[in-house]
Amino acid sequence: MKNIAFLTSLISLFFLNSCVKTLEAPEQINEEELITTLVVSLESATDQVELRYTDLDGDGPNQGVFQAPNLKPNTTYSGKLEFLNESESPAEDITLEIEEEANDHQVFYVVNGLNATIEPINIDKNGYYLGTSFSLTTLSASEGQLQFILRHLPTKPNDGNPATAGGATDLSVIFNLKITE
Amino acid sequence: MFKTLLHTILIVGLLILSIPSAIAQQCNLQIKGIVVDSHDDTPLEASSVLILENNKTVFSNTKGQFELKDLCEGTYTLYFEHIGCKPLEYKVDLNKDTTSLTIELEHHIEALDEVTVASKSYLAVSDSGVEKRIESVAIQQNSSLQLADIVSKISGVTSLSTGNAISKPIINGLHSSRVMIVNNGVRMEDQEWGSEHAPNMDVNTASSITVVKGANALQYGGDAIGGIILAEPEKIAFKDSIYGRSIVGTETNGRAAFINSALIYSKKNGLQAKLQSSYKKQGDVQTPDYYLTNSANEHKNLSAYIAKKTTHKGISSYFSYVNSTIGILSASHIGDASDLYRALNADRPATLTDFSYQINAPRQEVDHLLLKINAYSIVRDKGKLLLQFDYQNNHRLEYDLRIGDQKNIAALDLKLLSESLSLDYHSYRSNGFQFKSGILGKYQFNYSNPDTGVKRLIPDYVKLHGGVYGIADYELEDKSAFEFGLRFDYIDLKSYKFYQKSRWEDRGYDQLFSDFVISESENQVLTKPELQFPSLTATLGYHAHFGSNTNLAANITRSKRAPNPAELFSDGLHHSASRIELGDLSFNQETSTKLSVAIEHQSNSTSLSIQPFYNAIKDFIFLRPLEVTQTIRGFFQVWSYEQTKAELYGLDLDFRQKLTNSIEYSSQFSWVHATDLDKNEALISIPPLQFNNELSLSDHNGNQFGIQSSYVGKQNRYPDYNFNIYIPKDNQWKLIDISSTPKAYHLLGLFANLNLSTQSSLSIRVNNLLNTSYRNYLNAMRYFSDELGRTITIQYKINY
Repeated sequence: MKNIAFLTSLISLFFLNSCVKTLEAPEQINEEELITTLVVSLESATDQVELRYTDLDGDGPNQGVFQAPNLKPNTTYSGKLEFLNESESPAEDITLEIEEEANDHQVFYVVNGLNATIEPINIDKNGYYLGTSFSLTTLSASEGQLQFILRHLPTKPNDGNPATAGGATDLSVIFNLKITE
Repeated sequence: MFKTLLHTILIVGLLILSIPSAIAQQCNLQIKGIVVDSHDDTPLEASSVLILENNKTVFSNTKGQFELKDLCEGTYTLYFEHIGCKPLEYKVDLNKDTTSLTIELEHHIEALDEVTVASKSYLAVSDSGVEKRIESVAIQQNSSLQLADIVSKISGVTSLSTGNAISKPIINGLHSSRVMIVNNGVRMEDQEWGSEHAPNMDVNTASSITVVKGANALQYGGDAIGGIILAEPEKIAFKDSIYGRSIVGTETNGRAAFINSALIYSKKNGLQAKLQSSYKKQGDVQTPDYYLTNSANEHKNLSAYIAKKTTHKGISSYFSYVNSTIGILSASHIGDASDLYRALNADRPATLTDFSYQINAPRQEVDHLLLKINAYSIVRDKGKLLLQFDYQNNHRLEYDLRIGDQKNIAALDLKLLSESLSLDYHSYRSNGFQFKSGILGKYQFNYSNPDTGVKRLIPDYVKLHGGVYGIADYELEDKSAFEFGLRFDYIDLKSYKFYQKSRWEDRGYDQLFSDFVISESENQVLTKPELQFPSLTATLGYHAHFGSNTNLAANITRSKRAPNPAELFSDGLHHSASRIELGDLSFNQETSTKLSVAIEHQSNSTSLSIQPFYNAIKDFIFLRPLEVTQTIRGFFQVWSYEQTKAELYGLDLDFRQKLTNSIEYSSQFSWVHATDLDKNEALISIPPLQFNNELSLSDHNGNQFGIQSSYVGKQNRYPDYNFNIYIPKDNQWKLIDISSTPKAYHLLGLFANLNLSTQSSLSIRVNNLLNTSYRNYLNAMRYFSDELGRTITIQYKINY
């Protein structure tokens, strides 16, 4: 019984010693580098187009909103990608961070059904493609998809095929597009 | 000259001839005896008889009789123990065929800190439950394995894994929150809800591991609707001694090295201490065809125990620290469903690398600290009163592939603090009647570190848990016994959780749980869910002997399990599964009614155990795919936790036959049939039929050699959770087949255990001898890679 009395006092000490924490309201986490919006600016001598995808609640239940106007045939567009976090105001431009960490990022493109070719332009410090700026050349009228995939830590250099480049996907957006007069 | 040569030949010849006789010195002697109570000469059943020289233990039967066979000539020290008796040491000079002994133990004087072993049979945690035990020899021979891999040697137990270094036990088809792990008297609290969270305990700290296939051992808790795993420490004798052992070894696969050492100090006056530590490091493991990139892992453990015991009371404290760093297969870190499609249609991971010991992201780093203090006192020779306090601190870090400033910041950082205080009373049997009763208070605090910069997977919460139980057991004249137990638990869970506003409204929580809302920001809602779960658990069991060789145990238990934090609060992307998982705040508790039966027959050469079970679970919580959603990261399946009426039944079988004195055959069979009765479809992740066979050859010196065969069938009962997504590259809708189960496989293994001297032994094991390529339905990595190829483990054990 003496043992038990001793133990009881030991345990009370333990409890008194503030090993019991009280629940307090936690701080809100605003996810860093959350991308809510992809803006694709396409510019040619004769045309200017902006593709846009916005999903403000990230992996939440609300569906994203597309904006995908038509492209002109036989045109070479110079393209630029912008990645924004519009869940904060003012919106945060994440493109800057991606370009700063260019060595660890790459944009991959997949064209399907469209009579068009797409080539990356800008490169990282090691001379490998980053691809936030690119050149899109359209040919005859057609309909199909253009997909942009942003990855971090892909194997560099690679052949531009996202299937074998590895890394982790930050963004993957498919635009349904029409090339028409 | 010639004469000298002849002499030499003769002497050498004689020497050679004498070797076999020296080796084969008489080792067929035996000791027979009976253990009785010194007061009234009643036989003492289930007394343990330990030969200190070779660490062999036998137990006395219902008539108090025991038998020690295959002994060599010499002097032996026998150590007798029985619950409620003062242990006794007895020296025997063995020189004739059979030595007969009558051992008198003085009853009603407590000596051992033995809480769990009831008085029926040495296995019994409860009288009527279905139990199987793994002994210290088997644990030591598998020193480098994880808990789940060791207990899966028992029929009806399989392991659920995530790669090669994360595995957790499945009992009769159920796992995670439904299986309770009690480590040295302390219920493990280590975020066990996660299927990719392995139990944070080192098997080397245990001397025996018992699996109870049901929730009937109410003294530990009422919610183990799958079963209970009890890891118990080694018993230390009351004598002046200091001894220890070390095990060092290597595994070829992953070029692993491991070491485990234990040092034990004891005094006749009841002072005891033990210090134990182990370490294992393993590099990337390989399948028959390629290395698994980033599958390296490292485990450390340190444990210490000190106690002072007398015949009537004792106090002890135990400390253990476990640290694991585990690499997660790189190929499993995928993006959206199109990545999953690619992985499923490739026969190997897209990027393969050479061997490395490096553990990169993604990886888990888990620390677990456990501290226990307990004291017991014998109350008027009628029973034992126990007081225990335990403290656990679990810290789980999960690192993702991140870059820049976040590179070394974990994406998941959870700290779970648990403290519990319990008081138990276990009476000795008198007039056939015995009872156990106790009360428990527990406090838990979960902290989710916001520095991760990632939405909290599990919110901060405080959980208070109170429990009280009583178990009565009545033994009749014919040694059959009835057992009846009741337990009441009350859980109070308070939590702070941020929801995305869109999710909060989409789930209808803004209507259902508007009381929980504390504040709202532009796109998040801070809520304070407060939930209560009262539960009543009841068990009824019967245990009978038919003749001297046949036993029957039957048990029916109704138990309840409160939903775990993941089931309640999940809301977001689960990377390694490439899916969004959603919990549900409105869940009820699961209610299980399980009937388990064990029929056992044992004779000198044969033992057979048949264990059927039936488990009906109301409000069974499981994940089911709801829809496919598009996010900025691509397409993901949304899985939502749901409740259904589930039914699991099955059969476990163990058979052992001595073919000759030295050859033994054993086999095990397990089968589970599980159905979601609401939807009338199979439940997911149910172990396929398994059939194991082993043939072993052993000699008088305990050397052993054997061959093992393990057949795992194809699970033909699985729900169809496949879905279609559009793949732009192929301009096609493709079926993502996540449901189909892998083919059946058969593996061969070899093992040898050699006693090099009385102090040292060598164990060699070969797993997957034929280097078979296969995939395992119960490994989350089955979508991405094959299982391990041939693995040879060699370990050397030395006692000192």
